[in-house]
Amino acid sequence: MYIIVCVKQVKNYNFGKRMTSAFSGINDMFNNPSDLVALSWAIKLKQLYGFKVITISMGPSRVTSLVRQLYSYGVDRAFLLTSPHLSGSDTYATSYALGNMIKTLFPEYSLIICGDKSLDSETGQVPHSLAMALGINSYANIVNILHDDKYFEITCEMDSTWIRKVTEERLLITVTQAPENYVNLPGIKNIIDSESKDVEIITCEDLTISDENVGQKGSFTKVVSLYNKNSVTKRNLHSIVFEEKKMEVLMKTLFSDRL
Amino acid sequence: MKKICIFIEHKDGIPTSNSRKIIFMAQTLKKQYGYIIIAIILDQNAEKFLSYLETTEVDVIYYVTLNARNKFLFSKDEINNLVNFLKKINPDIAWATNSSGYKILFPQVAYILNTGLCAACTNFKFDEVSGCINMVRMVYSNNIYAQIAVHRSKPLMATILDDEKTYCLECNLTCPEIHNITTQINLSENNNIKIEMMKKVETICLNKSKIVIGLGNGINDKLDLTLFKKLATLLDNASIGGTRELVNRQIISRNYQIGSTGMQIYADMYIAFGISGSPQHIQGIEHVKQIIAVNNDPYAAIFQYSDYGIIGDLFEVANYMINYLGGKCT
Repeated sequence: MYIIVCVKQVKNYNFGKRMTSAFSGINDMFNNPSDLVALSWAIKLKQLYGFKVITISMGPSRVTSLVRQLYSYGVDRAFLLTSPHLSGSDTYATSYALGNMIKTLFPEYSLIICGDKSLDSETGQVPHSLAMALGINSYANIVNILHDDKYFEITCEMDSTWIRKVTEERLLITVTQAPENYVNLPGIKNIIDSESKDVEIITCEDLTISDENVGQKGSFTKVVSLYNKNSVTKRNLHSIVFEEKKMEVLMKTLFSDRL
Repeated sequence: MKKICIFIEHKDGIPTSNSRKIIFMAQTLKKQYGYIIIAIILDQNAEKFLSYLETTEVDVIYYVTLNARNKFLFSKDEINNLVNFLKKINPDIAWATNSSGYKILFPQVAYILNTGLCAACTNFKFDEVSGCINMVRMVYSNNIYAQIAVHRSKPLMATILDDEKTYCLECNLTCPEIHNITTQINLSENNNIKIEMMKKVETICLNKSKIVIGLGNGINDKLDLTLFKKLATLLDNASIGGTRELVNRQIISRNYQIGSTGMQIYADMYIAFGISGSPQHIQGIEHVKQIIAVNNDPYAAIFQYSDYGIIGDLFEVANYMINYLGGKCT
């Protein structure tokens, strides 16, 4: 009876743009916000039905401290799959590696929850490929999840129609919105405890993954070239402090042709 | 002869704007490099679309009439059948629209086919060295274009992003071959799965609106929306969108989110109320012609990307605008 949440650690590529932000200087990586939404669903289900919550991440060993932070949200066990062979994995290789990890270490999972997409690559493919690697059905845009003894009942939104469905024992879902009227903030006790908890590190040698199937060798896609985007329209700011007289002038310039 | 499969969609017999882009890109490939275009329609009423496609420049049409369940779930057998069908055709390229259905189906098909998939591509490029087609997409929070190749497998699979342009499609006078492959894909009714349609959510098209009002974290609660709805009616029925913060706070629905993970907008005017201007949001509004930002923080990042900035309380400004526009209208 456990729920697996896939959490990705993403790089903040807008780092240079926002020097005033709290992120500047110390750390330019963070846990993908959409995956934290997935985590809040898992914690809600944990509180309602008593599941164990496990997070799995894949990335370089320097993200260990970020994975450790997940303990403060109430996660039972946090795993990090890290290995030099894995670097440069594309969708196929990532879902193969994660699928292999889940099959080997957690064969008795009930539910896998993922965020809809990551902030850095924004593809949203890995969850559905992972579902194929595990041979289970996957659903997107979940609005509600209920669970009786055996089955999950999910409500999902597809092309502006809400669909409720009684489904099988195990499935994979992706979420975009946090559960209604529910906020999962790290508890103070959990924050203190998380400092002393260890992230469980898994390498390719612990699993039955051959180097041929993961990393750049195992990927079917490769990036041929990168080039900068042409700069977007430059704008000249005309700024005013709100005042009736100035506003009237502004409104005239803005809407004179519309009225 | 090289083949390209395009998975396209329609609304009332007319292709969606995303599908028009794909047909246009495929026709360019045909014209320049001699590809054969195979159109595949997976839809509940696929026949409706056929009359339009018969007059368009495509070579072969395959269609599958789906049942209600397939709208959000393809069973494993059905995916396998579709994969076998694709193996039989053996295309070099397979493109699909970026709709919610194909966003789920394509990764699944690509995994079983053991091939590479590029998501949310904007265009393609012909690689003269290898003679292959590479896909172009934005990466790293829309800051850089990447050219991606599928180098050791076939077909190259990709989902194509929509954009603001209108594409003129080429007409065809020789009728294309049409095949019904519903039985091949074998859409068996699975009785174990119970589906219940609940409610229709209104569809919105933020990306087609002329004026868009954007709301940010300055909004207190759902009640504040009435004020902005009033302003929207005065501004030629403008659309209202918002940031991820508001979606997370459940003030607006997910469909209304503007930004890199939401929707790109191409409006003439965008009025941002109480939006700080995070880079992810800015990416969604960078194609707007005129941006007006209202914020009480003079150092808010949104002002760097705006044409007009109003430093002040967003409710005061909104009320002033309503009074001004309301007075002028009457």
